[in-house]
Amino acid sequence: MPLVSRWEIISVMPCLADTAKIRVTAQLDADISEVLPYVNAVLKRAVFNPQPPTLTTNRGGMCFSLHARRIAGAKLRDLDHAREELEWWMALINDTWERRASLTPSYERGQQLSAIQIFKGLPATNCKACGESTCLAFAAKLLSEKASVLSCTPLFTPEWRERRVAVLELLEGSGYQIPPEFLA
Amino acid sequence: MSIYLDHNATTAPDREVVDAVAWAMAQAWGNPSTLYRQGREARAVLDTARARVAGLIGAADPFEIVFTSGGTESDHLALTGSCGAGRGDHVVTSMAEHKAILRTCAQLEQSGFRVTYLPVDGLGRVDPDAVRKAITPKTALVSMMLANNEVGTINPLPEIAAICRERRVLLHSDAVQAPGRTAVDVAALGVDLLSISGHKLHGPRGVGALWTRRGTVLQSVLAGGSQERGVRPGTENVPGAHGLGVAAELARKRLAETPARVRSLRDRLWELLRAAVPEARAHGDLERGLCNVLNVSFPGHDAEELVLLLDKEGIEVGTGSACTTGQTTPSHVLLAMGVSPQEARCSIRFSLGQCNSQSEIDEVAAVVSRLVGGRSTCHS
Repeated sequence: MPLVSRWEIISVMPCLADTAKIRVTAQLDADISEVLPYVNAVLKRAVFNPQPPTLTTNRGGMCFSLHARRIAGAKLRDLDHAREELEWWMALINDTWERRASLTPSYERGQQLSAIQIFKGLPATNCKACGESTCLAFAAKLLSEKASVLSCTPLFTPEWRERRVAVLELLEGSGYQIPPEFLA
Repeated sequence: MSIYLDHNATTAPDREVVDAVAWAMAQAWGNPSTLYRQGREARAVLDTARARVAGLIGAADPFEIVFTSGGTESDHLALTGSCGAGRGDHVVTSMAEHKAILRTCAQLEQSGFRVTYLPVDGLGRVDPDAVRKAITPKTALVSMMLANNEVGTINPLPEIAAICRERRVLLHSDAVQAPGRTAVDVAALGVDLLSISGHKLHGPRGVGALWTRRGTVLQSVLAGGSQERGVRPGTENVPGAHGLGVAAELARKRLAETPARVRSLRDRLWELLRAAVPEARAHGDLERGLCNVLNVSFPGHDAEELVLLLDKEGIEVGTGSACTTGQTTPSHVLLAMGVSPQEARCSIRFSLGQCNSQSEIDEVAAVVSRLVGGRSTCHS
């Protein structure tokens, strides 16, 4: 019995990244939250966010985001292309669901950062502006998304601009969502 | 059924505005810079519009109003025009500003300017003392928004203005969300530059204004003629300006009654939601902020999914900016306020307008409660 039987395209918009292409959102007839960690294990290079569960990945130059009851895709050529891709995702989701007993689910991001790696990008002054006693403690909070890099006030002063750019790039490259307002 | 609760994104133009723009397109099509009758008539329409916009914000002199293409251009002109006038190489702003300010600041940084992005407190307010500490002898401009578009919090501009005056630094404010929702008086605020946008006050899209205190020198971003005192060259958008002027006058007249009524509806919405969804959390300064904004997080519920589900029910609300993958990026304003990324991804913004009714609010509360209550999309 497949996990997902039907999908329905509910939104078609111009793609933000490439105006010649489209972005599409499809609603699913089932909640796929439980299978996402297994799909993450199968795909290996996806970015998994546990709360709420989402999986983001690139495939053939396109961008896909899997949510509990929908799939969003960007950089698609047209609706026919979108339908082909959605069928591919349905097959992957259902196949993964069927053989989940033989898979080890992965709750990790595609490119796992360590607190130390993040800490090296911070001012390391332990100024407590972020509410944490040390920059390392703040780095740990960033890692688990219990805090945002915006809480590091010194990082957003002129003196730390280069370090800020580097840290934001590091976080974004590892799948952390950085507000585009602050990306160089 | 369609219930629109995203008035901070845009507002439907008033009927009078639509008629005014159409009239001006047909009857006031002359070039205001020309000497003959057609041009003089267009000039008169433009100047009347200028006076109406000045009246909305308490500006003493209508010629302090520079028409632009909207809030983004006004913000850009304020920042780059101030920095290009040789005052210094440093800008002070906050992390909670609109992206028009933040992206312009990023551009300035790439050009060698230095920018300090000040933090905000848990309600989204900037601390005036932080502004005082951030200003240096090389500061060209401080830019602090009047009312936040995501959470509605109003900044303590008069206090910040006093500091800027004392330190002889220009103060700009992105006031795009404020007119029509709260009183805006440039003299009381103490600012030197103020941005407004037509489509946020039931006016036309594609037109806005930058109020510039007389004597403030701005370097033009565009090269061209001497329109708008040379600050913003280009043949003026007379129909747009006329529509903006009509919208400004209507907004000014509505200030006596509309904000109080909308605030009452907003508060009702929050009371209903809070009663139905105890874990929901409101962000921003509901008491002293804008009358129409309610930013609420529903833990465990993906904001974009909620927005789509609400859309299927005919209810239109806002959320954080969406990236190209369709995944909701958490609002930088909420993050700056200390809301965790996880919670920020679960937040949606209701922004009411003058046309919303109590029955609509009750319906929205009922639908949200049904969608959110007892059904989490989060699996631990």
